[in-house]
Amino acid sequence: MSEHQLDFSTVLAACVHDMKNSLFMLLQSIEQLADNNDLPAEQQQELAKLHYEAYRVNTNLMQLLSLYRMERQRLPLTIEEYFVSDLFDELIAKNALYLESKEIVIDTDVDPDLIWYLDGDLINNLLTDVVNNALRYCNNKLLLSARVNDQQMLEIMIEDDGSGYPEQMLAFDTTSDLQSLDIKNGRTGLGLYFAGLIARSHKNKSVQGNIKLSNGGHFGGSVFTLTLP
Amino acid sequence: MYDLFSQKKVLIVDDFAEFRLSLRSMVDGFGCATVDLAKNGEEAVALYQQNRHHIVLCDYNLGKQQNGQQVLEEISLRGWLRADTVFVLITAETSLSMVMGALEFRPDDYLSKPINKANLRTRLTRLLQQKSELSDIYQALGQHDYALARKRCAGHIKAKSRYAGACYRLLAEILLRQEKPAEAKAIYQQMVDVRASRWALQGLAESHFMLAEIDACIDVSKQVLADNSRAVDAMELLAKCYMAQGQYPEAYDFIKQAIAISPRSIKRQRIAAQIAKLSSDQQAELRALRHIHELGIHSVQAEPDDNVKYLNMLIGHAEAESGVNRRRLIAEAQDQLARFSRHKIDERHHCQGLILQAQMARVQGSHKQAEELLTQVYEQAPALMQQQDELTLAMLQEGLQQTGMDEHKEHVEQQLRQSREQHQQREQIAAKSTENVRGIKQYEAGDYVAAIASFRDAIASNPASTAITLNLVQALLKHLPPGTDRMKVRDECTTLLDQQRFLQPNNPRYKRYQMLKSKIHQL
Repeated sequence: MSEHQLDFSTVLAACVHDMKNSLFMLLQSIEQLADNNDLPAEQQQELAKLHYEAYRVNTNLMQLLSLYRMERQRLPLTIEEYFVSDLFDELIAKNALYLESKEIVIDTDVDPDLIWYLDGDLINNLLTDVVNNALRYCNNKLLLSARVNDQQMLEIMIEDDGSGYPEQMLAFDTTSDLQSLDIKNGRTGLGLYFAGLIARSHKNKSVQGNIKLSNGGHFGGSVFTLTLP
Repeated sequence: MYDLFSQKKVLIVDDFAEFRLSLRSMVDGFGCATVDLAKNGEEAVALYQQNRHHIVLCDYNLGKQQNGQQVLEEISLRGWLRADTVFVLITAETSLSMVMGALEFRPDDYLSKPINKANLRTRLTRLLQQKSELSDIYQALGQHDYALARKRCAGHIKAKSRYAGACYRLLAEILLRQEKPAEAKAIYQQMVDVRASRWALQGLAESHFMLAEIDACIDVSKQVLADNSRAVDAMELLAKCYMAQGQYPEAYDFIKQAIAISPRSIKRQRIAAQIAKLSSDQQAELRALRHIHELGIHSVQAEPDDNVKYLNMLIGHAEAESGVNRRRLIAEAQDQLARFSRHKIDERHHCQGLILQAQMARVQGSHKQAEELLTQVYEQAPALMQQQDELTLAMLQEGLQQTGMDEHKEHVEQQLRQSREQHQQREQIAAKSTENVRGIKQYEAGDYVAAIASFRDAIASNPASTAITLNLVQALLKHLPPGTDRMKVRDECTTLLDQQRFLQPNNPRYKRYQMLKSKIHQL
């Protein structure tokens, strides 16, 4: 094999590795600054914003890498048992700084012993992205809930008290292929496309996972539903 | 609430000072008892040996030497890893968890960068809670009382513990470790019937392999690969399956894939070398041996004969090549041989060095020098035979033949035949000795203390006997009442087995020897 031939996957992985190290340091510095209680509220808010955006960059990087892998081969899947409540706890912990500065409260409604089979990394990425967006559009409340539905599937819902999804997003076909995505819509489309792929890659005896967007729910805002077999 | 963190000792391992300090400042906030920092694998292993930390946060990438996974392997294989230690591998890339082994040397969790304080705290709390909830199991595992550990797993499952799933997994892993694959298989099958999770499928495949159900093992391993095309464990199993069936090209293909994804595993390189040898692919064998040699520098899994096998192959290969390739290989061999000979280890190592130098001299055309060097070793041959050092003797014979010293070779062969016969006779006599027979009966009756005493008597009158040595080691490993000083038993067993270290794979007792050796590692 020619040594001049670059393996793009390797280059991408190496770049992502490097960028994530930088992000880690960046987030650390922000957290240390935010620990200082003497800062004026305005600056605290700016720091929280910085933190939030840095996390979004991280989520995007992971999506990019996964999408590339998927195009090359297939999305590698590692199904293991997880406590759903642990996933929720982590989502809240990750965003602690932002929640505090914006005075947003995230409630959860889940049986602490509820266990489900899923790929922890991929589902974590998916939920992080949805929660990130919900935080941006909510007033001050989010609800994370999970239950086993009548079809014996896991149903995870993320609801906010904002003004709900716009019409065009409700009509978004999450099973469409990437080419038909309207890139002008910004990255929301990409995030949803990715979420749909992850959900569908979870299969159990020919039953696939799926995602659904709707408005209403407990707060009358947007409701994101992830269903996993 | 009882504070999970207050008494805990923490070890942070990262090659970047900034990350170390950054993690430290997070952990400091949890109120742990002590925090140690290490900048590479070597430091980490040394610190862990000293302090046996409750929490280890170890980065996967640690620069050129060991990686984080190898740190975990080393402290496990050296027998230092506390069963209640929470070992977290930190990665820059989430997908790494898919690459890593599912069964052997499994860290308690993977964390991907970036890590924030709140998130780290949530994760560690969860892990410590689980360890504390199941502490009775980990305690039994720490004492290597597997029967008790299994009973306690079953207890938690019966009590419908929150961690029943984890208990099933532990239970099946213990059964595999105890070489009870049929029972492990039943559990894995039961889990797979509920849902084909990665670990259950992989465990099922391992059980099939241990039961020599090769076709079933291939089926299940391929199922794992269908879900995750980067599952190296499954590739390794497939390689072993195809090797067992004599389908070497397929076997080599799978081990090659596994190595491409995760190149720093000595175990996998050994499999590659084995397959290459079986399929007479010298180039591939040399490549694998070279990797084993390089990885061995930083690994507890290095074997004493790795280097000599590699050098022997290297010189042989140089001889077969021509032109630039030949010059390159000869330069590599000279360099490695100089390094090999610099170490003064023992008479055996010295003999091996002389044979290799003779071969080098012969390949480079100095026939006379080769003869002189080989004559030196030839004079040592009786001592080598005394030690049953088949590897060095085979090298000597090969050298004598290639140098055309036919008379010497015939003489060695003749002596060797006699020596083997004598050894066999001596082994038979030793095996039939009253003390050994008595020991076996006592062992079978479960009276291990008496059995140990008998085997000790037996060995006193037959000090070189392989059979009695293995019996004694097995009895010592069986008799481990609470409060046993495991390190002392480990040392004694290691010394005993060390006397049999020249045992070659063609010896009928080799398999048992290997099995006991790996059991000592688990002490």
